[in-house]
Amino acid sequence: MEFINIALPKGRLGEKVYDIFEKAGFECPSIKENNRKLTFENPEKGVRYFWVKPSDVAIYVERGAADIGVAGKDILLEYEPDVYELADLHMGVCRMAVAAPENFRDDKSRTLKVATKFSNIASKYYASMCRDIDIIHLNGSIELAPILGLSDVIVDIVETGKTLKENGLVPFETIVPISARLISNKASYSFKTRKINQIKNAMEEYVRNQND
Amino acid sequence: MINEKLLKNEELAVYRLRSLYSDFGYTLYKMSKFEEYDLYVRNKDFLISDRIITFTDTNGKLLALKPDVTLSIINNFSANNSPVQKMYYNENVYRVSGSTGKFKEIMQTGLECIGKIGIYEITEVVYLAVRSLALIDDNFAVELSHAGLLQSLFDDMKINESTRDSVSECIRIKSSGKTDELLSEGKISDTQADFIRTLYANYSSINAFCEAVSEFYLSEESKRLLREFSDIFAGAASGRDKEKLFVNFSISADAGYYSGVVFKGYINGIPESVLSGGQYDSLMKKLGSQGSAIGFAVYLDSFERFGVSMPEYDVDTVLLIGENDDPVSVLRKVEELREEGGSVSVRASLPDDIRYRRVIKTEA
Repeated sequence: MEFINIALPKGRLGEKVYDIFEKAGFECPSIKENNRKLTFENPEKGVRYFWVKPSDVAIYVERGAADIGVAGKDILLEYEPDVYELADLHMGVCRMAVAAPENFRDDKSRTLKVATKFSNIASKYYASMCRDIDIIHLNGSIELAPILGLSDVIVDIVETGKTLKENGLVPFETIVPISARLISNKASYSFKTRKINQIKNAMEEYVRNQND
Repeated sequence: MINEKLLKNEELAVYRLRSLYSDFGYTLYKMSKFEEYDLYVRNKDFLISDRIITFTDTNGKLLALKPDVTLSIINNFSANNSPVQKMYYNENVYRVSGSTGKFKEIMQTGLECIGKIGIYEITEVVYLAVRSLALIDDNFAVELSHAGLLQSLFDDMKINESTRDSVSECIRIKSSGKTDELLSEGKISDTQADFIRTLYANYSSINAFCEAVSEFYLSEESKRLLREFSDIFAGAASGRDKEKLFVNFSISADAGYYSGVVFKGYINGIPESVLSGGQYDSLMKKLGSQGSAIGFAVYLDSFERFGVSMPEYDVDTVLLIGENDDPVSVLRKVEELREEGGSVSVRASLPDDIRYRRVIKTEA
């Protein structure tokens, strides 16, 4: 039996994502058992799931260790993996935005200092406006950068804006809307087209019915 | 006599591919390792990456380690020698790996057919691409598309120049989400959205694709290109592997330099495409050559780990010798053991670094 290997992002979003797979008819009861197993199979449905760090899903899929997976659009834009982006699951909805202290005024005669985890997205955004920027790559606590004068603005994911507000920051511009996407390895799609499309269509239908 | 067991996957592939291309009258083209950097600067669009290893030659000229073979072949093409030139190559190219961002040496074999080429030559090259994969592994797939047809269909569908890039991206990544987004933003109509969905689907036969695309308005030019594409597909599928050919327009949605048929090959078990090619007349024109050109490359580095399992033993027999052993009689013993069909490693003491099936001591 040929399995479809599915990489799920660890965490709350991943659990919601698995629910969609389950509701779409590709359940795997063993995944909910409390044990130390790393992979979970349902031979009857031909699916094998495994949890990986959310930012690694795209790597697993691009390198073919997983046939399909679910990754945020932020990761896809930042790392530009060579994968198909089959469906928008309309979950984990947020936006990539530029935020700064409330009293910030953009002085376009000077280089803009931008702190971010998403250097590629930020560089491309400002390059499209021919703006000279200085990227400061940080791995966490991005909100701290403008408060301490490390940067003028930050480029980060904004969900409710609560964290920004608590730190005296406000979102100024939206760069791109973000949500979870079903992605597929290109070679796997070529050999397992029917099965992958079956999963994709069932998930899309479930998501559509939920949103209607 | 070649012992195929000793060849690595990629060496075996080169050996088989060279025989195939020679059988179809293609001749080996050997080129220098370096090329003038200027050639790549002028044709950056043609290259997968514009990052190239450069160095200054003894005369001050800036040279590059070849990131690509096709450009050099076209650059050296002269229509005066022969109206059609058929050649194949086996060269190392130096490119930045997409996954690591570092330079990588890639062994590449491929062929090019250049000059006054017609539908037969185009079909022959696609057919050889299919046969190339069949020689490497039986479980393969070839996806075909047509860049000229795609552009003509875009014209028929009256897709704005400003949204073409977004539409191409929808097709390239098969994104239903992005298609819906363009539709909801009013950048495309319902018909144009259906058209995009039709184009990013995979089809297991050319007839299924023709049927799907005939739902839309097709200009005379599109109909002509669709017939051409159908003929090429049918020709390439004329061998015994026709169920391994698919129509997939995602592969040509951003291939700027291709003007005609475009194709990619996959082998089940290797996560990226192992073969890539197409017709690139516009590049010929840009480099000042008359005529058409089509070719493909097989990326041999992908085969390195394909289906390889570590042998249980590095050597069959370790022959332990003593200080007083006579070299002539030791060599005679080695030859005897070889004749029995195994490999032999002569050592003075038991080795730690290799695995062996048995140990034999010399009588002395």
